[in-house]
Amino acid sequence: MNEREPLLTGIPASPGIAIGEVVVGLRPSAKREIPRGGVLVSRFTTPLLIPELLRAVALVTDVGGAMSHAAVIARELGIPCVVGTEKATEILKDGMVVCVDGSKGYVYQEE
Amino acid sequence: MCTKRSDLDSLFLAIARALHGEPPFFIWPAPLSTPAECEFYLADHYLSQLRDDISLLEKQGWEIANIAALFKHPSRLAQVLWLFGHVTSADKGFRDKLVELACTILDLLSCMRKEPLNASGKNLLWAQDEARNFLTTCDVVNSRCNAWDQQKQILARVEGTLWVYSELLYFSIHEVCKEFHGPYELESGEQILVRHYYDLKPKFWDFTEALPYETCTVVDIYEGDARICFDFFGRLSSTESLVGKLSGFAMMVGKHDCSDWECMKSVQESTAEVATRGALKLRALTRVDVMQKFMEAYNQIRIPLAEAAGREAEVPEDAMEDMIHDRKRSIVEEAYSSFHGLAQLSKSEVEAVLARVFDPRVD
Repeated sequence: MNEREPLLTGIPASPGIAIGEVVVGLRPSAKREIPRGGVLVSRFTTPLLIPELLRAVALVTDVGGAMSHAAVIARELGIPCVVGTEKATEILKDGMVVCVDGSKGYVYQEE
Repeated sequence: MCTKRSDLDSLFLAIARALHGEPPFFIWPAPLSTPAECEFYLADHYLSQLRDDISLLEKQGWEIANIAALFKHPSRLAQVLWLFGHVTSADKGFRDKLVELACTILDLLSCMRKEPLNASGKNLLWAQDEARNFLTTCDVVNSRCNAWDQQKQILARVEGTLWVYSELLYFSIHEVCKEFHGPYELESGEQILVRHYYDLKPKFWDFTEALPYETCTVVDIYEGDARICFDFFGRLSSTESLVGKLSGFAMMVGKHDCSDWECMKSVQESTAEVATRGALKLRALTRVDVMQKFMEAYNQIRIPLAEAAGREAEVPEDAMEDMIHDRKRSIVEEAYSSFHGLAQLSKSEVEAVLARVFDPRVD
């Protein structure tokens, strides 16, 4: 994995590695649900996303730092998180399978 | 007694230090439900009421330690100071009363914390011996037990679920229902961090009735080199994950031990279920409804004091009226825009600016 080029880099906010299907830009008003085991990709997170946060195996956000909401929640939940990628919601697409390395702050595309 | 000017200088600097790290937007991004602006509507009315509650209790002969106990936990009390940064009245008499209130809060915090300002980065409520003794009353699960990895995993799910649930109830001021404290040192060199959740069934949210418990305490034991830091508000300010440093834990729901896998799973699932129901309800609320709930969250701090003083404990009607009619819109916008320039300043300059924002002695 180390030799692969990451698709995205950001701030490593919660350690660990998880692979899952991307769900982008979920809004609390959205009707669809993140599948259990999905990677929640969002500009930022809020408590209104509780059902989604509890289903996700990893979080990736556009904005935020090590004390951002997503970072704190991910550390509490013990799931990997990369924040401050600036363009995750632009580059990652629904259904893509990615590997999130929360220790390094990298997001890789899986084959 | 807080009598010296330097006591208040230290207090407002401690607040500034807790806030300067990152823009509040990153700490609790609220644009989807935006309750934060209602603090500008609430602050003057609420702080005035709270000061009157405390004055009345003092006149009734209440000792300072007993008044402190009405706040239940110090982080809940510290949360009141957040409103000092949202005061809109420039009235000299009112601001003088706020100075008195700040002094009283500092005295109250001194009754509740070993270090009232958490200046060393610890939030110590117990003596070291108390923490060690507390552990002897719990069934501790440690890293030598079977299926430790699964135990750790379910514990993280429980802790994460409790966290998001507390945010759902109390928005950005979830310290109103939780007190994390420590680290306390064990003779083995390990450290204890206590995560205590309480008031998890506030009456202003009807969906909370379904939650089968009202308090939950997790005592986590971490390796000696785990970096556990707190800020003035009693918030964990560590930016590293503590999960990897966990070497043991105990969990209690109410007064019952709940450290076995089945019990923890049941707590996690029931909390997630209630939280999901609550999130769906919150999503359907109007802006005004959300603001009212946020004011109710603040009011939760005041209710025990108002009741003890024999006063009304309702959300101030004037604050609600002002908020519904957007009467402080320009003040809110000006306040937010004034923070944009902070990114260009040095750490000490930012701290100085923030300390002045909270300090009622500054016009």
